[in-house]
Amino acid sequence: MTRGDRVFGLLLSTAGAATLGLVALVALLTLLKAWPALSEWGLGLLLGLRWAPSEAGLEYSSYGLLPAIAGTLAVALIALVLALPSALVLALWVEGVLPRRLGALVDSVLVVLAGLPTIIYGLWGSSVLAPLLQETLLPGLHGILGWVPLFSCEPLTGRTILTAGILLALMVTPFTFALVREALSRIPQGVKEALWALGSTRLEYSLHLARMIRPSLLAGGLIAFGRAAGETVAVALVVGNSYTLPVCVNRPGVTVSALIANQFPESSLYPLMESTLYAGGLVLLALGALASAAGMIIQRRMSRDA
Amino acid sequence: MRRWGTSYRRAADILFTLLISMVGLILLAPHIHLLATIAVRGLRVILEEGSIFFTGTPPPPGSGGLGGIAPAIVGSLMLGISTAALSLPLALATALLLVERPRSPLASVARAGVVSLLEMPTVLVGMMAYALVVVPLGSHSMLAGALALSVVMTPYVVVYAERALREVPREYREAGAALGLEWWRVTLGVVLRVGERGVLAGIVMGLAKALGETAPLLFTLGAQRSQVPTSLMGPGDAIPLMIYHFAATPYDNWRDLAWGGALLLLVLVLGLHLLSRRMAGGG
Repeated sequence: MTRGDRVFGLLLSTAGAATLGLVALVALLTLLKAWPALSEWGLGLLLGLRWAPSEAGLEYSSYGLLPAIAGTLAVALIALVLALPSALVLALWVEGVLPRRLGALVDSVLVVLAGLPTIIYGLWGSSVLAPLLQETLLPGLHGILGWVPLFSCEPLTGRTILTAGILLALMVTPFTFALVREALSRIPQGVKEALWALGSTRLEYSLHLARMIRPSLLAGGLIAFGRAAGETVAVALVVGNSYTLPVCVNRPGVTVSALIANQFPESSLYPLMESTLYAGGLVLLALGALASAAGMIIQRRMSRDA
Repeated sequence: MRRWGTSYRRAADILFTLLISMVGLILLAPHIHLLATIAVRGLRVILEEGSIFFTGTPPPPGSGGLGGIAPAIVGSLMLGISTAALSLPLALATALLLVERPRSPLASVARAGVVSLLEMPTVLVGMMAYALVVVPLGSHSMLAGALALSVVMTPYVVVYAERALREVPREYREAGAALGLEWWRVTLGVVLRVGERGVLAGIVMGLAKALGETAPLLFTLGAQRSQVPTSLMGPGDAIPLMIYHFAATPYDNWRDLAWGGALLLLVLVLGLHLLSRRMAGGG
């Protein structure tokens, strides 16, 4: 251990600590900035329903983040429900059904899609998807399933909670596909060969593989949920930005990230609005941490059973 | 030829194959439509304006002309360079820590940090950069944007660089030690050199990610699009930010510029991905 080595080791250690330090910095700063609003309104900030800023003074304004939090959860849930099965179907299609060359092609396409900037999805979503859904899916759902409370309101615009959920599902599917592919690749090659050797059809092969990766699907779903919950610009362009609870998904709504994107630039003009938005950020952090923790617990339980 | 057993199983298999292929194609269709739409609409805009698209500035809203997005293009280039400069020291050092001392407690700390950074909502990073840079300096700046983007870029570089460095065979390290080289000389002079290509490929991937991000720029950059940015300390523009702002407007000419910018961004990101794959595969 020379002196050069010691210095080098110190540099590397500092870098490692700094990496976690960055995370801690973001979390602490968000907490610090959110504190004024949290101490002013307490839990009411998270459970309140109104977004009522007022330049006149604090006693005239009140903020409640529940519509935004509920919107984030709703949009991410819709995305998860649509994306996880899609990713599974695509992964099984590539793994067990498609001939190898075609499978590699589809895999490459999905890898490319996974790396696309999300603003591109947002542009397409607001210019193409929203008008399309306004003409087709939304009236269709309202017509056929209008008795279900979720679809009971009449769709007036293409920018709705459902649209945002569908767009997010599209955005998150390639990433989830990669996760499922990785899970499938962790199945020992010998097991796969044994399935073929025993005379499995492609259907039976696929079903067996799907059953084997069930815990990974759960963990992957949680990661995808966390991803979808944090997405900002694409959602902001299609969710409609109406400060209401997402009781009916045919109507515009709001998410925490879209709220921040829209309100943050002007928020310093209103007392405590900026702090409220930081509190929303805190909720996003908590959601992400919860999803990751749950995912890790599932993975640990899975490796224990193995 | 293998016997498939009862014809029921065979029929189910054929039905399954047809069904899953149909569903697979249907699932891919929106994505293909997205890529095609960007290509068609973007190309139309760029061809219509020609080189002015790359050298001009945006026109007044709603007017007939198209203009260009030069401030956004130059801004993205400037951001790319400064983001890389800011993030590389930390990212490479962290990657080296994870490769050289993988079982140390600090490595676990670093790993947790990297994973958390990967999942962090980027809008929060933007809010942090706003609070730490924009507010104290009193103005929006490219520097604030670059700092925010570097936080997003770092974990990607760490992941790819660590993977590349891990593949360097230990024989190289042992040879270095056998020649009497100190640990840091072996790491920097041998391991890093041998794994250079993979590390560079990782840097390119991190850059591709950073250049496509919008949320970190929302509150930091200041969306100055009347002129090309000249300094890091002043406000500026970037392609994703321009797309976001113009996409939300009702003005056709601005929306057209957004499509053109989207195609440019798509080509840029895809190009970087291809470059990275070339670097990693060829070496």
